[in-house]
Amino acid sequence: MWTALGTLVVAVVVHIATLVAIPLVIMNAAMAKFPVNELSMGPKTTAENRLVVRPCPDLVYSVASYDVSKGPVLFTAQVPVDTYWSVSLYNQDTDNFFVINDRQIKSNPYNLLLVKQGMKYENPANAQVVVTPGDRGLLLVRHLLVSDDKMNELIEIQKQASVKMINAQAQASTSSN
Amino acid sequence: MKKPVKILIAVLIALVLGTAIGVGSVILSYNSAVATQNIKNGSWQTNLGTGTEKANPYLRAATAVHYLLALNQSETIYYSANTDDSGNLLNANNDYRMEGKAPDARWWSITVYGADDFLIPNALNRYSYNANNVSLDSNGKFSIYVSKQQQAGAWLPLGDQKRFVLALRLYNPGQSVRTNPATIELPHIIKVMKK
Repeated sequence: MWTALGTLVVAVVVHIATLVAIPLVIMNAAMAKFPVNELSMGPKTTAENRLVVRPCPDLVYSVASYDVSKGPVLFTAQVPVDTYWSVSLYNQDTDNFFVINDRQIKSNPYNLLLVKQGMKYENPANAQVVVTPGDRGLLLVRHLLVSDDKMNELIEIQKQASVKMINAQAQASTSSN
Repeated sequence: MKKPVKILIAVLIALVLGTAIGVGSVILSYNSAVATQNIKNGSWQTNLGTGTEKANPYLRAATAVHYLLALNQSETIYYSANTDDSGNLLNANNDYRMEGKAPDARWWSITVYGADDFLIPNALNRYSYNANNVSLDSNGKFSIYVSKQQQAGAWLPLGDQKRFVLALRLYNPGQSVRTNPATIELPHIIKVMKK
């Protein structure tokens, strides 16, 4: 009887642990495919693109793995006019905790500053500030490719976007707060 | 057999069997657990909790496996279909026709994926139709064929797949979608007789 009870307890604990682990493991594997605090510009999405499940073939993606543990991270982009565009942020358990699209931005170029809770930071670019729920996650930019002949134009827009860590020294002085 | 040895064997059995049951029960249950929570609309299903902080552990697991990096429903609502209008599983050896009107959204697309949730390789590199490139008839309706064999008109190739799934993305969905996700008019998926 004790063996059966023990088996049941282990099964319940492992069931819960597996459920919690699946998003973390898959998301961390996805994050490892992209450079940290550096924007990676994707090509036109085709069947050869197998980095992430269910890619949208009508979109072109730019991706960065962000890490705000050592300082704020600044995303800057020139946003296309009258074409769907968005930037979204995901935490380590897959939640999409922030998204903004081309019709919602208040300025163009658009600046977004990712900071961790309690972090002191400067904001010279007057960027929209988002407090991330954890230190690490993914930043994903979606560009709608209206037609193939717009690809070169879209590449130029992609090139104007960047992700970079700023104020690393300032963060070092606040980490003991 | 001495008592300590019996205890050790019992503990090992509990650990091995419990781990197998724990992992196996997740693999077997997370998709069906989420399916019971999904909003159903004809052949299509959606879950408005996808990608949100309100997602429960089963939905988070399903999102990670099938919909990683999905946007939350404030930006995009994703419908998915793995059955036709008759409720039968989509089978790549059959031919299907999707018929419908443009959904209420700023922009939308219908994409076909293989059973592995990736795009299906094909000579045309055609995986989807969307608001920009689908043709509408005089009644504002579109018709898209989904099959292995090439079809006249709009055609989504199934390559060498056995099973496939259809995904309908509604970017910046309109109020009617947000209010009535279970009853808005979505494309029909009709199995057609092969020519």
